[in-house]
Amino acid sequence: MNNKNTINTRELVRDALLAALLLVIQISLAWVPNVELVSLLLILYTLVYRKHVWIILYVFVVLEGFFYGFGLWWFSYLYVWAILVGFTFLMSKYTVPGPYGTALLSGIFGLLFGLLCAASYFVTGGLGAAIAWWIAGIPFDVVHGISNFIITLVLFKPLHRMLMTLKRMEDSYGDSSL
Amino acid sequence: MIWNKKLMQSKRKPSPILGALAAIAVLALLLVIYMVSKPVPMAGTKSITIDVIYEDQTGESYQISTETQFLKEALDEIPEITIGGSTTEEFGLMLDTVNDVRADYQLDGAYWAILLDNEPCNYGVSMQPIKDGEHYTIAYTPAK
Repeated sequence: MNNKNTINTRELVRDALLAALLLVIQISLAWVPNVELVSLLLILYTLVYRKHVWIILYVFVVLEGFFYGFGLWWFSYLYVWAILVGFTFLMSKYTVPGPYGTALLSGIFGLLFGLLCAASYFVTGGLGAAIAWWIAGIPFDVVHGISNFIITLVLFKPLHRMLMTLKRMEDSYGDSSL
Repeated sequence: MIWNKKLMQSKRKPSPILGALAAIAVLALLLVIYMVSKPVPMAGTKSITIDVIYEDQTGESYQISTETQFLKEALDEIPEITIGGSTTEEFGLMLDTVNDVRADYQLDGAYWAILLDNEPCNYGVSMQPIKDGEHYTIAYTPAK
């Protein structure tokens, strides 16, 4: 019997692979300003892999730091994605998440992304700098929100189905914790 | 399985209209804030002063009369000043070098601070709107 609080080798490898996938997809779409699949994938990982999403998320955040450098933006990554994951957990607790609901969540998260990240600029540069930084980025937040909404609306269902199938296949192999 | 079914039934279906209204409200609020608060450049000729202060506190002063609207455009009109750095679509030019002196946060632990009347500017060089009579300082600043 697998202890719920332990993590077995298969889960560890899977989580690492999903974190790496997150990084690769983020980098491959980095050339399009504020269009990303990270939000959708984190929502899906939360719904399918539940608490394992925290491992995936923070491995991804550390890898981002190694890849791009640990700048000021990186500190905002420590909490900003966690907010999306937290709201996905809340959403799944009270509703049955579907494409439309998750698209709205992802869209609103995209719209507020700059505001959420500005908190780290408030710590270093003060309120004026944080507000100016946020306002300068609002047009990009709008693009981020709209693209998140469309991407999630279109891709949620097929990707959710695929991940659920993979999860069921994985579960059917049984416990192989070491 | 039955338990799962009951759990699913016990969960309420979210109101699509309420969600859409929330998203539209956030979008509208963002657009209003942006329209009200975005930096507004001034038309016409402006005379401004720009001081460059290096690490050893030596400096150079430049004066210019310009029709341009933003600080970077004004800097580009001064042949004695050369500026460089990385540009992002979102925030414009991030100054790394001024007159061939580098202040790279990652490499040198320092940055070029842009001050207006000795107060830090809220915008980068590309987005800082200029007004007549303003006094800018571009200062080599070690990171704290």
